[in-house]
Amino acid sequence: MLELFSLKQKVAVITGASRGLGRTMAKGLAAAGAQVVLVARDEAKLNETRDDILAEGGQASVLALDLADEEAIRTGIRRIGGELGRIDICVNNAGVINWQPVLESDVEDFERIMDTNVKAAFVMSQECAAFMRAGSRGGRIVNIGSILSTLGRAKLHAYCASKSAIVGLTRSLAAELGRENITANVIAPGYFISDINASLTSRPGYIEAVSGVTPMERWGRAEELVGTLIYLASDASSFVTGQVIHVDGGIQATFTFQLAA
Amino acid sequence: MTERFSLKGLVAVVTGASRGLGYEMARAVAESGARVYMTARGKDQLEQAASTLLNEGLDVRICPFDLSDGDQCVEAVRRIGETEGRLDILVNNAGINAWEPLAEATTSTWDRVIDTNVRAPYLLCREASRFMIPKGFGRIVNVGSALAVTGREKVTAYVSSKHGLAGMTRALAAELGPHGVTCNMMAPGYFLTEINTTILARPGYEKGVSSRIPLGRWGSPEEAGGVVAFMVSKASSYMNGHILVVDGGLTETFVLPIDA
Repeated sequence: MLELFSLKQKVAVITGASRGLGRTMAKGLAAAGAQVVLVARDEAKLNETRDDILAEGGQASVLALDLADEEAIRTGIRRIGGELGRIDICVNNAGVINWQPVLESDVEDFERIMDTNVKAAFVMSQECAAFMRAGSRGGRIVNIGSILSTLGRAKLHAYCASKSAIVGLTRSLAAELGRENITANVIAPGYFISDINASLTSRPGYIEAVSGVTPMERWGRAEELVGTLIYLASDASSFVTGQVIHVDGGIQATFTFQLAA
Repeated sequence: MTERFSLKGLVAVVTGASRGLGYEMARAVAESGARVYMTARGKDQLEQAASTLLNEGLDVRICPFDLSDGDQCVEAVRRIGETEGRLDILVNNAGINAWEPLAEATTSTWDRVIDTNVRAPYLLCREASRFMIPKGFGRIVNVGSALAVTGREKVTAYVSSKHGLAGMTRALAAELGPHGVTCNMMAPGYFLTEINTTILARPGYEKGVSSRIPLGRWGSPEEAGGVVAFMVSKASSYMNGHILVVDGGLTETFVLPIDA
């Protein structure tokens, strides 16, 4: 790998690393040379991710905690940051989604989604940025948004609100932390085959319908997020901050549809 | 309340006003009290359109000229401005489209589309601004498209022209703003107009588009009028450089053509 994209000597913390896109991204960070701290609630699954990384010769450790628990995040990050001596990269990937018609939805559900998708990212960024500032080496915050960071979608009001909010959070972090050489950017994935979408992909015609409105005419593969993540986590992106990078096969930038056969 | 939407005493130019959205824009601006100069290339069709509006008691005039001819653009605006002693409102609505897969696309098509959709509005804005700046007031509305903010296959020149027009709108907003002249874009999505007859004739096209729009339908031309009437009135006095999309929600949402 080109030196510019190397994450050697860097400590990267990533949430939602127990499965799905988060697991793939964690492995990607490790393959690029980072020492990766795997955060999620499910310790057994985190151990699997860690073992995969170790088996490939990478470095990883597990930090099992509930992202809904603010104190657990603060305590956990302070401990692991102290042990490793630094935190260079913070990837807020963990997210939850729930489909509810707006008139039938409840506030508890809204709060749960906002708390996991936005508040946890805020607390994580705050704690990680403290280490980045203390180390005077700058840092990288990468928040995982969604195509629904910039587009609305029926029955996903809370998710859309949370993913739009993460853009605002990111831009504000970019504005405030830029002078510390800490950048903050969003990766906005489109439709990827992953655990979080299992209930969608099982619906008849859903996969084809999404492909039909995507210029590349297919869903994304988890590995296709890795390159963008490494770019945003590496020296290659040192003057890029506050941006939303769409990785969606072109959905967001185009109007594409297939005529019924 | 309605006073802030009144265009009484103002002079407006609406291009491409003989049919479709431009006709409805001309009607709406005239209904709000302005004297409207309707322009288009074909004189007969323009006269016919104007006579309908005149019969309704609206203050409209016609000014036929060819947008692809730069001299005619300049001359038309100067003539109107000098005759009236003012020119307060310019609605650059006229535009053309061309469907061509990229590999088969010709440079002449590119030139024709860019000339009509960007160069002509540029010339009209430039000339109109000379009448607006001394009065310290003006309203320019460039009519873009949903394709000013999103891409679409096989209409490369059109998408480029409309994105270009959006850029020009923002540049003029920056330059003319200090003179009390605002410049904004009205960006329509899919409307049931003559210009779309070809695509509407394709089986499944109308429904294919509707199925991606939260409002579940194409726009009807009258729905373009009110938006422009607002944009050229005092009611929009602090809106400048804005791209106002009128597309039933198409470009701001993600809607699948299946119920899921």
